[in-house]
Amino acid sequence: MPAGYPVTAYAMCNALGARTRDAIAALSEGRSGLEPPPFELPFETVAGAVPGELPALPAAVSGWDARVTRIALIALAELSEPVSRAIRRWGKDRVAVVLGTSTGGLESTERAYAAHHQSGRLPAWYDYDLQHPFHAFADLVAHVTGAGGPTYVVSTACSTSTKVLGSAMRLIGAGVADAVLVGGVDSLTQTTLRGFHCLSVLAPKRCKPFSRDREGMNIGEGAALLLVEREGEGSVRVLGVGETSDAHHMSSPDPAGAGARAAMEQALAQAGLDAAAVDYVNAHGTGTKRNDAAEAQAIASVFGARVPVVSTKAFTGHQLGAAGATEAVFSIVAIEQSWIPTSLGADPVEPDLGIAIQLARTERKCRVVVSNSFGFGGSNASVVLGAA
Amino acid sequence: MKAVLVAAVGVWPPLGPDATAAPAAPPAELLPSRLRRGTSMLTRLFAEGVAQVAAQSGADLASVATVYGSANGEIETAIAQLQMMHGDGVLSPARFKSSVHNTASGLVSIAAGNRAFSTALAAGERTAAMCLLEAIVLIDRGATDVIVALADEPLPAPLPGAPRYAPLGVAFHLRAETPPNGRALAALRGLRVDATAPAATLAEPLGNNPVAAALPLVDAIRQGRRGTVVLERGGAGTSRWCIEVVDP
Repeated sequence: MPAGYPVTAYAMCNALGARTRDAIAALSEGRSGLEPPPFELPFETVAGAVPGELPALPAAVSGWDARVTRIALIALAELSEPVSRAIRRWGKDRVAVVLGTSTGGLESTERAYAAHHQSGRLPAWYDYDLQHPFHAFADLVAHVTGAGGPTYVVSTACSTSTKVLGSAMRLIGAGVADAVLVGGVDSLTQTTLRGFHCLSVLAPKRCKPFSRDREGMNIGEGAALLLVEREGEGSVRVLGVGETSDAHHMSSPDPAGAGARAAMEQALAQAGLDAAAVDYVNAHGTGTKRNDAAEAQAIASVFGARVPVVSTKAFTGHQLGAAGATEAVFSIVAIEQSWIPTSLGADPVEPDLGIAIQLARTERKCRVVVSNSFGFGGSNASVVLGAA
Repeated sequence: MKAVLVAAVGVWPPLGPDATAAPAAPPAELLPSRLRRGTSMLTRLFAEGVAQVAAQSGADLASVATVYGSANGEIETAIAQLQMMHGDGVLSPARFKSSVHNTASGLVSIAAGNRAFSTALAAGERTAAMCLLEAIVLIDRGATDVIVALADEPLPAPLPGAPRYAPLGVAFHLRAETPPNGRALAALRGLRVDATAPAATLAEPLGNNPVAAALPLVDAIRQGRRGTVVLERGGAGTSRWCIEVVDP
């Protein structure tokens, strides 16, 4: 029996496009989606917003209407047929929903709080229980799809939606589910932009991961959803997920990259592969001085300078809880279509990183890709995806 | 899946006759003062639960896997940041980096030097059930032991209905095999949805806390009762997550 489980469908929306094919095209063409933020801030930066007007939720589920649920349902619309097929095949109670977010419905609460600050009253449209808590959008996705298996949210900051792939592998492996709809969703919020600014890690211009001239990160929003099944038609399989902790600092990575290295090694071990089998590493690559240096050290310690390394954060911004799933989709596209995107903004590369940063889109046959996600709290996750 | 053993159970505030003697906030002495300073009620509840079960079972906090669960997460910190935003407009770095759902996971791992698996989940009324599921599945897939820590702090104003409930934290130390101290309190198996299970009814002021869904399981384990325990409080729908408590 082949290792891991097939990804039988995927979809995403982010600053590169509201449809999967548009986002892939922009990635291939090297076009960034970063623009001035869609709301006023007392400092300079750019951000990755999902383009266009986000459609309001249908009347039957309008109570859940929030920016984060609108983004989730844009991506979900592309998966309605595959998820329905999985429910018909496995039964609704055998299809689980495990989604990730970092901010959930915080954007709605920000607007409601601002209205309360002005008038002393929360606005009539605000329903805390349907719009703010993390589980609300996962419940909405389960409700809309009809999936009736275990439904929960993983929220471990920026490692979130790589960890959902680990949960999916375990749920299927233990016989709890036969299909798991996984992914990550986050929307832009004032809190995250101002918060990263107060930590002095927000870049005033477009971020430059792994560049000598990098000044920090940009924030983005989006959703990426993947359907993982026990069996099925999928050109790429989830082969292994490594999940570790730094035990070092709440917001700074271990400078030696030990936890990150352990996550990659665990994922490879679960996949039953050596580092030599890996054709491409999608780095977390936020563009902060500390993250990129620590991650480069970890990647170099596992792979040396042989494997092409790319950060896609200068395309989409850092989508926090949606970053891992989005970059898992980018990694799947690399395997399916045999090309690696450019590590936008990396030129001139920081000297002495010891890894092979990819400075141009490259045609390359990829059979195995590693994708990294690291977050606050020292939470690390790496996934190995491989051609079926 | 095999049954998992319950090596320890922790609760804050203390239930029963000890409840009135409890301090206003859990001591959370697992966190050294430099990490504990400025932490939320939620983080203290989590740290207290982890410390309680480790003290009972001898869990190795430097290596045990951890699953944290909260329906509303670091909501006190989220609203405090909005107050700052509408004050001088500047957020606090210390508050911001403690605003993530996995704040307690990070702080406890730092305090214990634990580089192992840790996650933080949310599932509303089903948070307790889904955290137990994640832990049981981890053990099924090879983990030797997992601490499940559940906590929710009161909602701050001006959120609707604030504070809704009193703070509550619960923790379980689950193991694949008999714990180092040689005894298990109970075994758990058969986590499932049951369409006929009645909702658990719980007394105020803890009863409205989402973590209260785990109190019937705490009670059954502590009292040595065996049988089916419902892991969800009231609410819409008739299907509820349940688990079997059996002899270890």
